[in-house]
Amino acid sequence: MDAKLFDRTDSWLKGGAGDTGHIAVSSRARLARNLGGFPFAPHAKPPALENVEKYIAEGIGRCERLGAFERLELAKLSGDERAYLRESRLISREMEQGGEHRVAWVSPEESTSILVNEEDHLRLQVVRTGLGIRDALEALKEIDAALADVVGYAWSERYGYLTACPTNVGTGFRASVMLHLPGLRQLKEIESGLQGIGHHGLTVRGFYGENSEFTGDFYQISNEITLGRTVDEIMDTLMLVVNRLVEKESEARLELFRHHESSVADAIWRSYGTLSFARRIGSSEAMRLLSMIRLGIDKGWFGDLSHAALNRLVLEVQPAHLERRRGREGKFDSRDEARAAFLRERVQAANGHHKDAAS
Amino acid sequence: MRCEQCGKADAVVRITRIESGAAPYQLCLCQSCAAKASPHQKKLLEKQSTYDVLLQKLMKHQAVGEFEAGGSVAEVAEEESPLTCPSCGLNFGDYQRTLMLGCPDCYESFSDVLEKDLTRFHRATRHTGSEEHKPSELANLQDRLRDARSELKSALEIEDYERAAFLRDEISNIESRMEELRTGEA
Repeated sequence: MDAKLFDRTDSWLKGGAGDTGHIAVSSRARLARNLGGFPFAPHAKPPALENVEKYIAEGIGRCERLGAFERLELAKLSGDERAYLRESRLISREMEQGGEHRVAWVSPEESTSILVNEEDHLRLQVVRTGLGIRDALEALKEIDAALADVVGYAWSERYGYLTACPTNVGTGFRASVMLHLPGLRQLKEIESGLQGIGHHGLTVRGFYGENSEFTGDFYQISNEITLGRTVDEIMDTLMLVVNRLVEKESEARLELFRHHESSVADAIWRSYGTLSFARRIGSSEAMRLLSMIRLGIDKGWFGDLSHAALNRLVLEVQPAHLERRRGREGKFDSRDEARAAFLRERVQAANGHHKDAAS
Repeated sequence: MRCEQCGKADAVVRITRIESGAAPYQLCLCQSCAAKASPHQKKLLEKQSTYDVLLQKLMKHQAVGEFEAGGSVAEVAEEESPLTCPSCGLNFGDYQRTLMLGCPDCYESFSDVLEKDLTRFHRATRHTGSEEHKPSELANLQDRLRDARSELKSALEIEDYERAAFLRDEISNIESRMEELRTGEA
């Protein structure tokens, strides 16, 4: 595959995350769409999937707005390459499995992708840093309109956009925001903070999506309900809950430092020590340690390290990203050694103000 | 009763013969003897068999579904659960096992039972939204195909065979155009 793509990926991590960037890590908006007149992908046989893929490729070819998108055939990529794209949030876990006639179209700035023959014929998605969900939705609407012109969607007056699984029918819209909530977790207020989220038609997942644990205090909030509400209503509900959580987390962090400063500072600096000197670090340990560093950034303890830079570190210690670095440098026996070496270099370089912390 | 001519098959037709110089008399005949005895009966018999073949073809056609070429799920609908999508052949049980529908038409085919699930997932059964929707040629054809099929069914029920034959041609035209679009040979 195009090696340049790997060097360009994750550019959605760039850019300021705004004044909620210390809590809101990233946002993703996606739409599920299907073509009228074709069987849905899960029950379709390869010739039908091939026709769907050809039909969409032909449509995208006629569409000026999507002219610069790059076409990646999943079956032609290695498992490591697919894992890399998944970690970069360009493809889904489902697409990572590969499979015939599955294709990802990726925008030049790698924040937008069009997935073909996943659970639905089309999954369109845009990723943004911080609380950029509204921005992501605007970009998504543009892609959606461009595609609707060239392919035509399965639609009914009664049920809206028709999807293979009825859990996505209606708007086909899913918005999700990744939040970093170490304050609420440490004050043991996370459960009460997230209580009642289901009542709003929302759900919580971990860093790695469905069925994952809340590694590194990362929580993904997203809507489950897609039918009977407009896209704007879904967004408003999500933002209401997300903003309330951001507020609660801010308060929790204040309280944490006000009443438990010495134990929190101890935990943060121990994490810093481990990251600076350890020789082997596994990926979930790295997530836990980086989560603590992220909390210390609020206090200005790691002067050269921004929240955005830390977000990038979290991504770069994921297995496929690290494997690619290890392959390039070719000097580490194990992935955990490569991870520790990489983190030592980055974390030590970032630290300019650690003496301040003692004062 | 047996046919009065051959004495073998069941009699299904009663014809009245009027011959010059004799009183009219009636004969009870089987289908093939009747066809030999009367040109009108012969014609009727031919027509009958054409319609039988047509009818069988159409019924089979409906059951197998249009997605056969692209790979359909079920083969024949009749013996299985009556809840089968006529467009793609998916059985409702297949949906319940996988939570995945077979084609866009499944939403209409299963609407009554599906709405229970929709309520469970979304606490709603109707879409509300202001999205503008532009159907593709393919989606339009899909709608026309559905309409033509249901009209064909009614035509057969009321024995309007002329209309049924017309609809059969229409269906086959729509299908070949859809096939062209799908495979990009347009």
